[in-house]
Amino acid sequence: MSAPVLSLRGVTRRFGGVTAVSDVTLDVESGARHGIIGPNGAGKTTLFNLINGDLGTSGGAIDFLGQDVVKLPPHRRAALGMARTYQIARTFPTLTVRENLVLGALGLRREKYGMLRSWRARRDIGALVETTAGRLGLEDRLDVPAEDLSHGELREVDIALALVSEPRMLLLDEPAAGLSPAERVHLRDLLRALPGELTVVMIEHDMDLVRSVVDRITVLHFGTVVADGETAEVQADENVREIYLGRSGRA
Amino acid sequence: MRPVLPALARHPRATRAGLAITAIVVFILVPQVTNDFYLSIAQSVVIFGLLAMSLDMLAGYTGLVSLGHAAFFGISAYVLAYTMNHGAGPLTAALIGLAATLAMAALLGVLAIRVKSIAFVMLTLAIGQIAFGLAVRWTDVTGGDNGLAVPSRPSFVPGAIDYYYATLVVLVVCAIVMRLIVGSPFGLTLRGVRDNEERMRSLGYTVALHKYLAFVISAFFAGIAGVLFAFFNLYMSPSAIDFQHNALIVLMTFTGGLGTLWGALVGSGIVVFFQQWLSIHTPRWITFLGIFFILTVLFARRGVYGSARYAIRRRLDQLSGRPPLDRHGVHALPQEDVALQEADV
Repeated sequence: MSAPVLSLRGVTRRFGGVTAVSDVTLDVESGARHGIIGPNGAGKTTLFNLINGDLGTSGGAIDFLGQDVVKLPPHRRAALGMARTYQIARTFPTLTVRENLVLGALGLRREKYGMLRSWRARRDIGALVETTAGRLGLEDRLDVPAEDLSHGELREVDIALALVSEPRMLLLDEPAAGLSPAERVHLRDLLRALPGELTVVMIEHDMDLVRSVVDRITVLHFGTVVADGETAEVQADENVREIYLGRSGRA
Repeated sequence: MRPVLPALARHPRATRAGLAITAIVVFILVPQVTNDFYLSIAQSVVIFGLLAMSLDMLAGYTGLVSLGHAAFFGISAYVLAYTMNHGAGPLTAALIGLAATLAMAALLGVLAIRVKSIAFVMLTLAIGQIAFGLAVRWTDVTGGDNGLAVPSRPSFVPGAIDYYYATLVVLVVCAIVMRLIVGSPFGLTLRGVRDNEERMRSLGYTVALHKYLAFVISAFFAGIAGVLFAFFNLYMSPSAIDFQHNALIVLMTFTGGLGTLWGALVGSGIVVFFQQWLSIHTPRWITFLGIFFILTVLFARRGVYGSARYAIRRRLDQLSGRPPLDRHGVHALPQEDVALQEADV
């Protein structure tokens, strides 16, 4: 079996006396569709922050593509091919959707320091941006400032920002949260159509979406891994049912 | 108006070029059709317009409002005056002044970019006040309150009108370069930094480097304005870099419209008008400037130039049949869904 794209060993993060993420060990294979589930406050988003470097770890090791990244700042991890989205969409509100996506596309290119030619002159980046916007159904909104978009559209821009950088691994933090049923269907189709070589790790509460996209699930509870395995077997797990539904006697 | 606006809408580039040429022609005509008084006003607008535009790259585009920008203007002017008084020719002195500005910006930039928003304002305020303090106290070099005389202008622009045209050329060249920078990939990254630093990091940007470059470039253009000022005024004193002066530069960029570049030029016109024209008629000119600023903030949030441009663009959108932008997009969620998500967060 090939070496995992992402490998966590004993990853821990404490906030004062609270251990938000405790001794998490986890491997994500290349091209995997990996789901992370767990109740609110289980430490899922904190785990993402540790993986991409928005937060530093209190202990443990994080390897990405065989390289130890635990000490690297987020922009260096992004340069290695790690892209993420946020639970509350993080976009550039005063910039148009097109400008947002151009920033996403430029992040890993040397041209980001170019000062004397218009960014509009880069036809290849323009084409990439339009293709990506099309995949998310944003092609009619390209010249609208992000602050004028609906909630669902902002989530799509956030995902497009991550995709347009052509990453090796995509971290999606509750991509379906707050989307309408129609938007969820669109999101599911989009996730299914992602290239097979792209590794996807997704935090999600919508189990329908998880089931239709993900092939492996890790369950977090109070910051620790309580189950890890194929989607079906994790869903059948007694512990997991207890965490989600309460003790069977009382449920 | 009716047939004119749609025609303008169809040719945005020609419209912009037309406006720029009109502005340049007006500036060219000032010495021909008016007297020395208005020439001196136009001269100030050119110099402080350049200074305010340089601040707009930092404050408007990068979101780093500096209350110490006049320090870089002052460094180049003082170094120019000092080196000329020690035997350097005008052009050599100007180059040394610019090099000194660049060196100080490169040094202070390391400190300045470590902080953001209000902390940046306070830090640059401190830098500005230290520069002012040095200008007052370091009398051996700066002449203290007496200031330093600048012995002469470059020999090819001896007269006030010749010099005015030379500064106009410098302004146009600098404006073109600044416009290229803000429209470039790098300029876009600055707006990204202003809007969301954290997101820029996770997209792979070394945010500190972008802020640092913006700081140094902005200071460099402020230094050019300082050179123009030294040769115009032929005298440099601490009052040119005191707190009031720093505040006036910020006021120019704000009243014109942050993040518009040309707005800074308009704002400089407004402030210089109050400062030099109205002050003849009333000693309370600064009160009127204050009232004007309050009215701008209340009724033209994007600044005088910024708001006008916004209003015209909306009108053009309507005329060309494009639907005006609503604050919330087409498939906005029903209210209860929104409430649910917010509870979830």
